[in-house]
Amino acid sequence: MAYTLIASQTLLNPTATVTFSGIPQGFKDLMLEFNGGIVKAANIDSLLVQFNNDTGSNYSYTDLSGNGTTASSTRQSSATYFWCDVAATNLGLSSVSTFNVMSYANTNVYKTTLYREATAGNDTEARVSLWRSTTAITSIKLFPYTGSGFATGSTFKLWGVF
Amino acid sequence: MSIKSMSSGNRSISMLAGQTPEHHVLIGDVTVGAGGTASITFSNIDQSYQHLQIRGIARSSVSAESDAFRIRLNGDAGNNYARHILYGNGASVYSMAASSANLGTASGAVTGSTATANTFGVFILDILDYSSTAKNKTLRSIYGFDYNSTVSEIGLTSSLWMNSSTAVTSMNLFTGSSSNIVQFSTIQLYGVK
Repeated sequence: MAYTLIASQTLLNPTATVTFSGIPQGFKDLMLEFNGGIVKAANIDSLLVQFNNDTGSNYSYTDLSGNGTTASSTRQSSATYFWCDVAATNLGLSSVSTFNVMSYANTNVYKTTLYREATAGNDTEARVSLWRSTTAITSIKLFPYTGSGFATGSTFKLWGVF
Repeated sequence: MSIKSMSSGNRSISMLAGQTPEHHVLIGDVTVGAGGTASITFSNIDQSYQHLQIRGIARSSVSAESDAFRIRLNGDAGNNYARHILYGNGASVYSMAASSANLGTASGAVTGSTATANTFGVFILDILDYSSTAKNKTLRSIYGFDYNSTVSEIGLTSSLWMNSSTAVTSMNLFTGSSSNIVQFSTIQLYGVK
């Protein structure tokens, strides 16, 4: 079948960083699902994503979002990660994000990710990001922007799509 | 593979490798070779699924930074389509629509030949109840591209094929400019149970 669960984890404790490494190369796309929150005394923090331990300024992203009052679109070039909003402690485990990393193992293309984020009580977003590398993706690192970690009960699922 | 959770030295590994949800089945797979191609066609589509999903990356040979990416169902080139697009370009939000059109939208836009090298537009397109002979066919997609510059786009589309009495048995994907789809573009068709 087309969608194969590669790995899944539900956090038993607050966790600073979650990394998927040794990703199998036999799929067409990857789909990463996040459902949870970040530990921080606030409503919102951000979930940051890096590929293959690349901390260089090789990422960019564009978003389309609505917060119930305003629809907006912003972009960032030459960043050291791409990101999305995630609920922090005040809003509980109320964020769902789905990242589609297209042609992740294709060494002829830069890697483009399509993702949707929904955070109850904050906003809804669609985003596209670019990692300027033709290297196949073998690891994905996720970590909070300013929070101390992902909240207990947050779930992460990595799917391979044939 | 492993999952490492780093928090005060804690480490946990949770693997459910091999679990295969029996919902999506790959039924078509095209990778464009050297020289490109004018269009990509999936025909004789198996009618035993509930929905269809098309996932792809594509680049057009048009001499521009982007190009539209269109779809026709069952070879229907009549004015039997409608479409709506909501998108942002990093600075503003736009909405567009067309009615009584002769094609639908697979992706609001893919990259063109003057875009940053190695960049491709990406999209995920769903066709719900494609085999129904009692409903018009609704298509929806999420799409986007980013060039690490002032040119980028992220959007959502909906399209309607106003043919309630006919199941979708084929689809043809092509650029809005009628330019070629270039090498390394790749599109997969999935049946969804």
